[in-house]
Amino acid sequence: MSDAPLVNLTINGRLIRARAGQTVMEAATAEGIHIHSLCHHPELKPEGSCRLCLVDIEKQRTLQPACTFPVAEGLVIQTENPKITAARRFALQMIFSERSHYCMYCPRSGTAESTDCELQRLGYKYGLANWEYTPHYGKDWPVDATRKYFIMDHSRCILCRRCVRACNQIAANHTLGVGMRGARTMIVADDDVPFGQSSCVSCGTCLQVCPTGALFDRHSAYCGHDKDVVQTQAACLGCSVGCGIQAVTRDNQLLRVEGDWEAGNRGLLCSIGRFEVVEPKPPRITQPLIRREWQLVEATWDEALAHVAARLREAERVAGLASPRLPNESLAAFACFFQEVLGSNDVALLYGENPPDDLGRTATLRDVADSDCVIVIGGDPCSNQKVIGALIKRAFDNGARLIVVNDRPTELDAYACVRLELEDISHAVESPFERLRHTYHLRVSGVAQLKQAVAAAQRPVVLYGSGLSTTVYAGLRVLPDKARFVPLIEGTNTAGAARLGLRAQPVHGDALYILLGDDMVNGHVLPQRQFTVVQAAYRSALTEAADVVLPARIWAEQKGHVVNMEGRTLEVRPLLDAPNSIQSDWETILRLGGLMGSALSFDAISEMSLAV
Amino acid sequence: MPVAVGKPTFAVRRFEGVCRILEEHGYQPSRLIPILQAVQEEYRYLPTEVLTYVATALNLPPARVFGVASFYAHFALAPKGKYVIRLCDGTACHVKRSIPILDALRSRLGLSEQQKTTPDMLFTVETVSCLGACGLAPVLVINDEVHGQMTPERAVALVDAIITKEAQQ
Ligand code: SF4
Ligand code: SF4
Ligand code: SF4
Ligand code: FES
Repeated sequence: MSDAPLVNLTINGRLIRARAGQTVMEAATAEGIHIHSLCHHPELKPEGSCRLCLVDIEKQRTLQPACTFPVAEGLVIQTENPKITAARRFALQMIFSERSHYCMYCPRSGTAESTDCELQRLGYKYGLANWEYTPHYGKDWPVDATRKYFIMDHSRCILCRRCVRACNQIAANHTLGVGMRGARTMIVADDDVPFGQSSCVSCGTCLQVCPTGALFDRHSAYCGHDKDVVQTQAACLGCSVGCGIQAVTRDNQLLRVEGDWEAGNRGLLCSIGRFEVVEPKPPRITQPLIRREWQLVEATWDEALAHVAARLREAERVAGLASPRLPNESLAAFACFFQEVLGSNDVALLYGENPPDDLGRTATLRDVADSDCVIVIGGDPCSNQKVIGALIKRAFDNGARLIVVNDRPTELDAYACVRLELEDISHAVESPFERLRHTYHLRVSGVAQLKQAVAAAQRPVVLYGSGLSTTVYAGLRVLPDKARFVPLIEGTNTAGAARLGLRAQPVHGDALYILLGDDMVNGHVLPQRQFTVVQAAYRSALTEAADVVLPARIWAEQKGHVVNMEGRTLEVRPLLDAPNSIQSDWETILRLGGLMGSALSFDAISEMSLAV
Repeated sequence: MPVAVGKPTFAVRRFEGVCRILEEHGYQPSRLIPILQAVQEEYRYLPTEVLTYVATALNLPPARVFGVASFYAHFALAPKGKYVIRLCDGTACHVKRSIPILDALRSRLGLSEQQKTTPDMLFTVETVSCLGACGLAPVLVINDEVHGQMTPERAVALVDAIITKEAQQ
């Protein structure tokens, strides 16, 4: 596209240049010329169904939709004139009369300045004060509230099909479609089942692109217009993909999370990153707790820290466990504390496996989506790194070949053109002749098949999981240079932790210090110790079994950095203020270090985390 | 052992008729409409399970197949009666007073806009936009038989004749 020839055209008397293949809308937007639109969304393929973007093009018999009309040499275009205004008003009148746009009940509705509804905004703009056509008002348009996180009110749907395109083109989930025809047209899921019973995976992409209040979020509805809220660009800490998000906050509350169109995930999020983050959580720990006579009772920070310092000093050996969900800064302080203050190296991650990262040539999220040959070895991105799973399906939709190598069935098997087992690619480095004596001919050819597939592709991407045998990794190292790699890392910041020397392994000390943050690791059974201190944001089985509990910040209150699966360092921005008196992990650890007679300094920690 | 997988594999329910039709059309997604036509020949309508089956067999999203099946008036998503009466309500038939005929048929059979098929599955009454026989307006078609220049009385008489015939059998 970028080397397509340039063409010259005139928009509103201004001479502009555009690339052949662009639409009039794209060319105008690139020049800062705004053309009204409704069904158009820059991240979706244009469909031209609403007729709001009509423009006047010289030598064209009728007005043409800018969102689908391709630029050509010498076009002379007007984006506003009385004829266009009349056509747009007509289109708006038709849309408003089609369904029950009972705006006063809609969460998006507002004044001309405050409305978040793209349709209502155009209604104000074009002065629609009454219906010129008999409205289908009061007809029973259904409301489908069967989805857990968001609702569809068909009476507000303008059939722009943005949701359908988002589900197909961005989420690659193909749940949504258009059923019936004419005035009875409806947005449907699968074969017209309620949304909550459909193949929808609650990624919420359709919700994010809907221009009206037809799709609306349960959690944030009626909580404020866009002008009342703060939007902050940040990263999701739900898994090692580290998707770009726009966090929507107001009055120190997280209202909603949207996908960042600019980031590698291109607006896409999974249900964890978009919805589960705002779901109700267990009770927050706001005060330090000390176990007294079987019960955890509230204590002051000084009391609790002095108690912890004394008990840690008494212990023979202190072990540490940290959640890989924590930023580098917390993990560095923790590691420093063990090294410098306790002189112990019995410190590890609670969980989280980091596959070897010396394969080099890391692929980005964009590379995955744009790949023409995706090889997935071990791991299960559709369950554990869901956005990656969706990007792979998107590549598949665009014609990529998919090869899955796994011993367990995964969702991606259905898309694979070749399905191998790990054993099939475990003999790359051995001489094929020797192997032939012991095993099937096919086993040896596994790596050969991968090599061939990589060689035949333009942009091959290999995603590999953790915990595979060294021979499998050896097999990956012999793939042609063209291949780019993505490690499917378990745990959000496991990569950052690894750079600090922290990995998941058993620890042995008789006292245990657990740095949990807001991680929920219920189901984790830890052996009973002499003394256990847990630094956590929420009450959980782990805190209930602890001797001392220290409050911690949640992800949205932290400041720092994490390293994602692409090996990129992402900034963790504080989106919310922590409740009074809850310090960041490193502050708590520094204070504890001070009490234990060490001069652990902020500088040492920041140096260490910067080195990551 | 490597397993080559061509298409998504799904739990397969046996629909022999559909299988044969899909086979005849070489499982070509581009032949969706002829496939649905043939399926409707076979079952007289398009049951939801069959639509889902066709979608998975052609590797198409169910929403797309449903979209096509529900778009065309020719396709029926609900079972139809043994006698399908299609009354033309195109412009010519409409001005030649097709609606009174519709009202008469509906009141004779106890049907309405919502309920198009009699509970005994004998009759379905529906309107179509044009049968292309405007010269005979108003027209109705019972299965494949065309009846022109209809009046409410003649239409009801046709229905009565069928009922009598059916009762004798
Ligand atoms: S639900 Fe929203 S995005 Fe989907 S067609 Fe209706 S108005 Fe458009
Ligand atoms: S939430 Fe995601 S999967 Fe579900 S319908 Fe919307 S876009 Fe499709
Ligand atoms: S894939 Fe991971 S990083 Fe992306 S939204 Fe989901 S949980 Fe968050
Ligand atoms: S924005 Fe172009 S037709 Fe809708």
